[in-house]
Amino acid sequence: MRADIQRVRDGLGTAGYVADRPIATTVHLALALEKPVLIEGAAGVGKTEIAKALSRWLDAELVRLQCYEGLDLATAAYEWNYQRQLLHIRARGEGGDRSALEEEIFGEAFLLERPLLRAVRAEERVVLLIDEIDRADEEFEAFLLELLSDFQLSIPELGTIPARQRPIVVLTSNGTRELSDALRRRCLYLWIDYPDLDKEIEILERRASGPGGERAMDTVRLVQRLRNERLSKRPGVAETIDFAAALDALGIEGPLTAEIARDALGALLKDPQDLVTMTTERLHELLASSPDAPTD
Amino acid sequence: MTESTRSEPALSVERLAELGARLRAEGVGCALTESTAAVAAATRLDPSDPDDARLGLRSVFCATRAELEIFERCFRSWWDDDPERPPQSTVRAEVPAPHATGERARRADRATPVEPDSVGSEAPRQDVIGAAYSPLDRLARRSFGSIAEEELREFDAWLDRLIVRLSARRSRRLRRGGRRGVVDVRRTLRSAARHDGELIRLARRRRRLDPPRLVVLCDVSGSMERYSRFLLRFLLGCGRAAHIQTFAFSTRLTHLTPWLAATELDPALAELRARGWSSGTRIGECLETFVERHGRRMLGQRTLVLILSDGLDQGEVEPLERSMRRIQRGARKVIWLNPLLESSRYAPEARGMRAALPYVDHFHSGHSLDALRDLPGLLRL
Repeated sequence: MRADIQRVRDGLGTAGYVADRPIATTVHLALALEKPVLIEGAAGVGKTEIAKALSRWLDAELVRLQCYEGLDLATAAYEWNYQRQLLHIRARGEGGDRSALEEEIFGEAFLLERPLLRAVRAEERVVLLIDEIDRADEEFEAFLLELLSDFQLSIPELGTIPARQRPIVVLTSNGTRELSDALRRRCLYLWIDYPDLDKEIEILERRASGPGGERAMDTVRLVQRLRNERLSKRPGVAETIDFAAALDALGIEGPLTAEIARDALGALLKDPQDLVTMTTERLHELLASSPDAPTD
Repeated sequence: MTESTRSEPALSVERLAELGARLRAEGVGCALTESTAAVAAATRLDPSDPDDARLGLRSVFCATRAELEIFERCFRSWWDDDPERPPQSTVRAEVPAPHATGERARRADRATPVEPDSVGSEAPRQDVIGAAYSPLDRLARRSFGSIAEEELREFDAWLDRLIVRLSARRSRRLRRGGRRGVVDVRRTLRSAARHDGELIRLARRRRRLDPPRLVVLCDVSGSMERYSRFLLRFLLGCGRAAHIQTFAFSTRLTHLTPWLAATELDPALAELRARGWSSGTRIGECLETFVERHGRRMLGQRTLVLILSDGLDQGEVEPLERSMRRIQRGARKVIWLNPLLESSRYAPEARGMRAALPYVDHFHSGHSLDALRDLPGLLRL
């Protein structure tokens, strides 16, 4: 393994993120080639966390854009400061050169910064997180293309604003909508799966308040087995952490039993039907099955 | 970044181009941009370490999860093909085709080469232009199940006319709406600047009306096939093709949309028939496959799910109930068309149908042209 990749792995590690080799390799390339990364995977596998860890490790500002249906440029990139524009027009009074006035009020001073413009205009390099891009609509996706390939924003009244420092761009998608080919092709691609047993235990143990030893092992083993059950919402890593914290908050000592797990199960399963399906008996079976049994 | 950029000879441009060509041959799109990025990436990876190269190049060449698997396979054989050998002697038959864009290359494997229907849809439409439409016509009420092969063209022509009428009605509705909407401050101020800051006219904008997304699951087993054909033809004709995801099922689930992009409806269905998929029904398992593979992407609050089936299931009831519950929770509306409803004596007593009904918002027959006419109304959000 190239030393650079190990450095990324260690760096993300110091920021509290357990990066396996595929993740470290892709992040290394994203930094080296200055290309955006598109991260896909089930909910709760730690996609967003990568951007946060990058920002902590590189001590770069995290600029986050949460996508949703109907997200438009005014919320994502920039908006004109209408009050100021209006005041300025009034202050100028009647008469005068109108086209000059128009040029004035559509200058950079009248621009309100939203995340994308912020990422482009920042003096220092930032980490730009475009979270859940699949929730935004196709038009917005098309707008992003310019930013992703040329790292610049076009504002019709003003012209093109190139990035002062190329931001590190991380896009995440939960796959609720098919993304366009054009967008995919501009990014490096990273698929994150649920972590294996060892990695998930490591993640749990890295948490300051997380459990260690046997308890961590039991907790993770149960979660991993639950993921193989027929559930409508499989628990992610975030849920594992919540679940461990819930067990901790309940102040329970000793080994993990089905009854205890059942009490804290709401931290793990977020679907009413799943909670009904996972009876104490079933949890008991899952906990009791041999540790050597294959988990997938 | 200030990283050293040693470039090692082992991953030469030729070698990378060959990997690109192999991937392209497998349907993984490799446009010029990826090849360029691959060359750049290769200089930042350890060329003697197969994992370094594999993981790094994978994130450059692949764009979807499905492509990852193909990449792994291609990479292994490519890597094993003696990297020490001088690149000149590894020239292969699969020379990179210059124009294969990602999208097209990816489609290539879906597009089953079926002969396009020789009977164009234009000709029969011309034949009936002069005919007066009467809703009381016997054709309109004929059950699709009773239509003979020779009559198909006649019915298609009627269907086309029906579609034209229904589409016209829909567009009139969309034109109404008046001058309401939120004020577009940006445009308003622009015009104000031209009038010394006087707000003379408020520019407005209205929310655009997006058509709902539609997921159609059609039972193509035995007796249901004819009904499915007409329903599909009707929906495709309504001009919503871009927003329709179509599936056919009998004992297995098939995603029809990519097929329909490449060929006409009838040849696609004939191909399905030829594969012997018209015998027996396992609704539950098929719906479950749909939920698991496509549910996340296709279901949502703007999605209508339309299921056409007689509900006579040979499979287990449990998966049917489970998947129907998930479909109903994920979708805006669930419409079940059951041609058996045309008989007034029919009561949904089959186990499968009974299990599914609690999760259905609208239960209709859809068995004839007349019955299909109600559909566009139902298909609004």
